[in-house]
Amino acid sequence: MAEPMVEIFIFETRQFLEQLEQIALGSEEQGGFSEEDVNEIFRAMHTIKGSAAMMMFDQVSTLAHSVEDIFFYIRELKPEKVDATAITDIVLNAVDFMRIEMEKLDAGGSPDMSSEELRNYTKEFLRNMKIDNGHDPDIDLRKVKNAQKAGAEGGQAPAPEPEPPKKFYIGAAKPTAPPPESTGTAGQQHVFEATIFFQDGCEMEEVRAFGVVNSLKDKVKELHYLPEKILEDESATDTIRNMGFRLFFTTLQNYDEVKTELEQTIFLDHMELKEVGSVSELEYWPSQETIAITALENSEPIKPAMPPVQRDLTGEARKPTPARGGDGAQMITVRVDKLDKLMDLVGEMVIAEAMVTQNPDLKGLELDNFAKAARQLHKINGELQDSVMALRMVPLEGTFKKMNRIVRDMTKKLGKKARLVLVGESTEVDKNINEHISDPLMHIVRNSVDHGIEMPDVRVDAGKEETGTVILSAENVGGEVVIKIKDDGGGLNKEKILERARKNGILTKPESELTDREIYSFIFAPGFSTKEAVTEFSGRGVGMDVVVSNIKALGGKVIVDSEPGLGSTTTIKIPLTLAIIEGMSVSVGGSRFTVPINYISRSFRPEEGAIFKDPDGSEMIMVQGSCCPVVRLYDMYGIADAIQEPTEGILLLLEAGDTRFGVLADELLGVQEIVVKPVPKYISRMMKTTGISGCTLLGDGSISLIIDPQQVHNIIFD
Amino acid sequence: MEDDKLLMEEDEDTQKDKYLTFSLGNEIYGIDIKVVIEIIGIQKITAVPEVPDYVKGIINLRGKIIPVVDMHLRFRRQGKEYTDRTCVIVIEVKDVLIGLIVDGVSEVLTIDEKNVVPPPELKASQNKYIRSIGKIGEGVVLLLDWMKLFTEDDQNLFDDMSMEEAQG
Repeated sequence: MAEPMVEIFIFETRQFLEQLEQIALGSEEQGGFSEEDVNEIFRAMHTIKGSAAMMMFDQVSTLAHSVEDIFFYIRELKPEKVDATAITDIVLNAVDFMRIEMEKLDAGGSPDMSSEELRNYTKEFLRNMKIDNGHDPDIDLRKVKNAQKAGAEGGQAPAPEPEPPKKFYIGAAKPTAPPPESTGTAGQQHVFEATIFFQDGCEMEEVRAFGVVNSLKDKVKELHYLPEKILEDESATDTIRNMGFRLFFTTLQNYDEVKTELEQTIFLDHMELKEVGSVSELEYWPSQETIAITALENSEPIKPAMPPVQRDLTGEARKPTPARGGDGAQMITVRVDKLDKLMDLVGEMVIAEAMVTQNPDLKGLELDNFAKAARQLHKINGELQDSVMALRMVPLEGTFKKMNRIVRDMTKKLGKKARLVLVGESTEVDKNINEHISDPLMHIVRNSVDHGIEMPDVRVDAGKEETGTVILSAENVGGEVVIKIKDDGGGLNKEKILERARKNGILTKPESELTDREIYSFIFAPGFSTKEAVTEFSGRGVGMDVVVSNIKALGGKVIVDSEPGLGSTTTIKIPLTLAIIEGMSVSVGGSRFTVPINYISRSFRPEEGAIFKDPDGSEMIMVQGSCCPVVRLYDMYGIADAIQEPTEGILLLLEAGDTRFGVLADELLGVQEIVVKPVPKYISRMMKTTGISGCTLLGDGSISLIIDPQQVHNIIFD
Repeated sequence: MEDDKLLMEEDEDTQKDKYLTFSLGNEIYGIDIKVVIEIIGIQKITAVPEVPDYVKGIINLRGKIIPVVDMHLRFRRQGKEYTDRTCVIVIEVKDVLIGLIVDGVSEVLTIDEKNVVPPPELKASQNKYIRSIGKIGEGVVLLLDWMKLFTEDDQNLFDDMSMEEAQG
């Protein structure tokens, strides 16, 4: 597990990368970078550069620096000729590079890949861009800008303060630190003024300065510095480069100690250190009041221990998220395992509640007040459960937006034209689902663009719009989230699929009996591809089978529909949550079973003779004109003391897939919210085909086995 | 970390040579105290399908679901009616919990290493589950090789599980 600091770095950087990717793609679509985009990209790259340098990941930080330079140039000199596509490529390449490095870091490695090639390309690109726009390629923008500024301010201001309202960044002053006036007379305290100059060309002076502040802050009592906002203020770099980084601080260490400390600074060129008698002699020393006032103004939380986190929060707040307005809602980041634990506890409580309110000791008692209180408890528990579930819910937006990139890359490489339309991307799903849906979606979207959307000329010939459309939509339907990927391409070729299926020998029944959906579902079989030529993106037949296995793991299903010439639609249905479900409990002899309620279409006591046998001995029953197979649970699970006469038991009609079947039990025990617990591994390794997907605790503390109708269905129909 | 290690070593030290003894038929068996989590009375067991007969099913131990194994049947002997004396010894090995159904639990004994002898080399697999035999006064205690309880037909549960984890 990575250190907390590294973890935050990874988390933060990934967020920025995502943001960068979105902005870059958006800009390309609009054909250019808006001023806001430029600023956003600049800021994101700047922050990544800063934090990467602090973590000593030089390859990442220098790459970010080179990209930042491009945007700095665009922002400052507003060149006319801007090749948005090429710049987008540069940004995306950088994002990809950093993303890989973050993966490595996350896995416990270190980001060691060299970014030199990318960096040189970026620098060369910037150079050419400058020449194209008639600027001097060797111009140092930062110097130019600083000179302009210095001129505007009338030259030799000792400390350039570009923003009139003073905001002091309090790096080290601990909230409990006593006012300097009172401690100044205490004796051992020393007051220092230091100016640090970094080596020429070491680059990223502001980051180095921040490093100095960081290493000092444990050793000083109070610390102020100029420029005040090193990381936030972009002119800080020039100020530090030209005038040095000025520190004013009080400490218990003496001159020599401080000197040694500061001399360890990386890229230090030279420095001036001088000790003064009291803080009043210092050139710059904000009073306690100013600090208090500015602290109020900047109502951001001050976290002396970890400034980058604070940056992250403000960065977050800047990002336009539809989820909240300007009400200053606060965000915190919580580890997922803590949420999981909370979820488990809530699950335990649901069971415990049932154990109390359905306690066998209460049977037959008249308990009005108890029942009232129990209802209240039930209500609160329900709300609690919903809230905890909601904690884990995240919008699909991020995952959906990733697909933009895929469509872009593919259309570019394949010479097709297509756009991706997102619908209902704010639909929220469990975090777990969100993570596992990403790969399947990617494969389906790829497939749609590669196999579905035709080449532009083909489309025009067919009387369609030249640019194809892929619609990615999500909505909540009942207890399920339904995700659809719809394209207006050529549709699936049934003949080709059949032919291929024949060749691969995966036909399960006579061709004439196959429904269209069944034929289409062959594309999800492992090693299946109708594409003759293997392309970079698809056609190898690897991937689509991942779709089904991933979605099945989430308890969902995939359906493909297609209309020749008009396109195809892939529908994914996934249950919203997996951990707590509503189940109908039934007894069979001394055993209890629970069936998820959404699979039960009805339950009834069969009439005498309603269940009949075919010559093979398989039982079935006529329900609403269709004939459904019947299984007796006691038979299937070898339970001795169960009711054997169907007319005395109860038949549950279950719906799984497109078919219905009946299971015979003794008695209905009632509907209850159940917490799914896995069957202990010691036992599950011995069971292979039982149709039992888990177990749960009932109100009376007894264990009930959860029947998975889908598995039972497979047992019956195989 | 260091402290933990030390503590564990110490812990292991105080648990060394200590065995929980239980009766099964006419014999007295012993199991290392360090794997024993707790002892509970026999309670309602939920049967599960498709398992060997010695796995009686699962029980609910304060919200945890634990498989229980009848030791008579496990040792391929005639099963015995459960009585008030019947106990379930819950043991944990490498995060896997199982309950062992035994006729009754006696006491915790310290058996010095020098009083422990290996079982005779019989050709049948009768002593497959016995690691060694401890002498205590006039009587003997059969010391259980609990690792073997987790394996069946040369199939190692832990190997299986670590593979599953690696895949997951």
